[in-house]
Amino acid sequence: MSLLSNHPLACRHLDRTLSLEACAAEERAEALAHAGDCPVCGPALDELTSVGRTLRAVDPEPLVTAERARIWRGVAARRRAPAGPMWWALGGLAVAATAAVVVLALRTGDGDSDALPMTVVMGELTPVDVMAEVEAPPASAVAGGAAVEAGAPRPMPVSRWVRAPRTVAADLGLARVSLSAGSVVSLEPRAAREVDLRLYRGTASVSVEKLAPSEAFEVTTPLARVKVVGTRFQVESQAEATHIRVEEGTVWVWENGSDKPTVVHAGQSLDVRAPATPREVLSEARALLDSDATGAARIAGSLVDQGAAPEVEVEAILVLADAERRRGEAAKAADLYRRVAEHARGGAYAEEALYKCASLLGAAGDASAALAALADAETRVGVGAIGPERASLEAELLLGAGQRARAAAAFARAAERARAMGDDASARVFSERGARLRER
Amino acid sequence: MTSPMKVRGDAGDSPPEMQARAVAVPPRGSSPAAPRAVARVVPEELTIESVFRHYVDDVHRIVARLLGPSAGRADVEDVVQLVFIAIQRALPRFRGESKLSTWIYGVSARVVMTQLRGWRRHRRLLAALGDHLQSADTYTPEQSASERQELARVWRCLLRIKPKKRVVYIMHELEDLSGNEIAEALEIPVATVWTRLHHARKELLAALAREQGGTP
Repeated sequence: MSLLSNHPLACRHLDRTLSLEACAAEERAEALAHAGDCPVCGPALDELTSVGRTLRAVDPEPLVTAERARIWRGVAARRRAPAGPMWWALGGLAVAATAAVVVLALRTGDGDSDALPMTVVMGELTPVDVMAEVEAPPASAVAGGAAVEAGAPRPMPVSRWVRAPRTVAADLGLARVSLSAGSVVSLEPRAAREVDLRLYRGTASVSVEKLAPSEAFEVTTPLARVKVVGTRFQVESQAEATHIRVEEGTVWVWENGSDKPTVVHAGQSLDVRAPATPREVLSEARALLDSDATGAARIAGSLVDQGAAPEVEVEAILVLADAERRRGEAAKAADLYRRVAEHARGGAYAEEALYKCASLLGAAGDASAALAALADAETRVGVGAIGPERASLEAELLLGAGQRARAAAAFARAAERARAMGDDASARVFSERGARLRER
Repeated sequence: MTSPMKVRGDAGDSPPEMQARAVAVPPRGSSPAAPRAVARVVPEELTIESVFRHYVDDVHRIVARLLGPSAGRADVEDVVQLVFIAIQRALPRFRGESKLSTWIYGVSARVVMTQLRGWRRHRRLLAALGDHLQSADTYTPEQSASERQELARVWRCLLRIKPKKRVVYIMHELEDLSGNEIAEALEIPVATVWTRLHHARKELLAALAREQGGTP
């Protein structure tokens, strides 16, 4: 249908036709009667009806149970407060990685007659320095002993870490373990008939026979500890999460920082997530902006106070400014927007920040400061992404200050920019306003 | 000529066992893909768990509709999670002054609008419409190629409308919410709802005309 290209919004009744719900009954009947004959309004209604039909013809596929469960797990993980210090900060040990590939027999309880006969059945394991794989620990955590506290992640004896270059099957006496290629593991010596398999990265599929009361088998990852009695289960350890899936029996899982285990039964699985990264925290603050500006301000403010990385910090200041604006703290918000524009990494956000700053200042009656902010934006980005909006705001401010000629010129500039961006509707509005000002 | 406008009557029928405390939205009734009438018993105890149990399907549908067919299923799930995080944060302040379902609509819409505010996500959604016909996994794969093409054309135009107007349009046209319900959900005056709806329709028509004329 090309009604609007032939008659570009040409009927003066079209506005009323497009707002039938807002009309009184009599007016609505009149509008519908008009639309029946009008070559613009009638086809416009037909086109909207057709659009509605197109949109309603498809519907999102309903959720299935597994998806609901996945969403809930995600919600639960995001709700969880950040845990304690990062586990790697506790180590402080560095090991020179050995390039040579060696075949290792993993043993515990050497010399003890009751020791479990634990042997890697096949595969070659490479000694590995896990410390080299993680980022430098935060300075505050490196300080040492203070970070070691009840429930905090436990250090692993890095001297024993080995990597499986391919799938490796191991008989650990109490359990048979299959490690996926690339898994990094170690065995922690414990009592004679106890096994603690440390899984840094990768997937361990474990099959454990029924254990005697004196026996214990555990899998520990940087994020959780899994204890079993007799079962088949799988533990997958990644940087940001540990995933536990139980096929038979029951396991107990202790998250770091918690002394209360979660019981996972056959057929169930559990995700243990790492503490949120600054980016995730920022994303949470942003999501809260509309529903809970105070909460968003608190979260974004804490990121700023903690001295996040510059690229996160600048976004956090922007979110904080948005939150303050929603809370009605206009002056504070305007200052924060200006801070964003002046931030070392604020280039990409300067235009939006200065525009919002100018809006707030204008609303507060400080037209000259608002115009200065807009001029600053113009100098920094030229036309930018919201050039029409900036020019239009400038026009409104000038109009408020009684400078009609300059306001008309600003409206003309807004119209030109809107047209260049393909927004003809806005261009027409700006252009008409400019023309009206010039006529007067 | 048929009018796309709806004059709303009383709330639709809800199952008898729910009538006492049900929150109902009138069904459209004319289309085979008409939205499901939302009829929910208000959870006795308002916890995030009970709200999730009762409303996760509705929130998923609302989010998927607001994001459009070019949003992947994983994207939708991600935003649904954010909605429930927002609900959990805001739940202590819910005083029952509006219906719970309306309030949830509002939270969902605001979270989606926040997510759509970024230029990058907007552009990604727009760009994905190009290959939506082959790869979208949010919607049923049963439509014909021409139906999908038409859907992509309409959504390309809808994505040109600012999120706050688009959200009102979709809540009205697809979710069948009345002006009062939208106003309550978004915490804006009813007059603003009609203004946004009017502008959304006008801009949509203009965008469709431009598309028809080959203007990008």
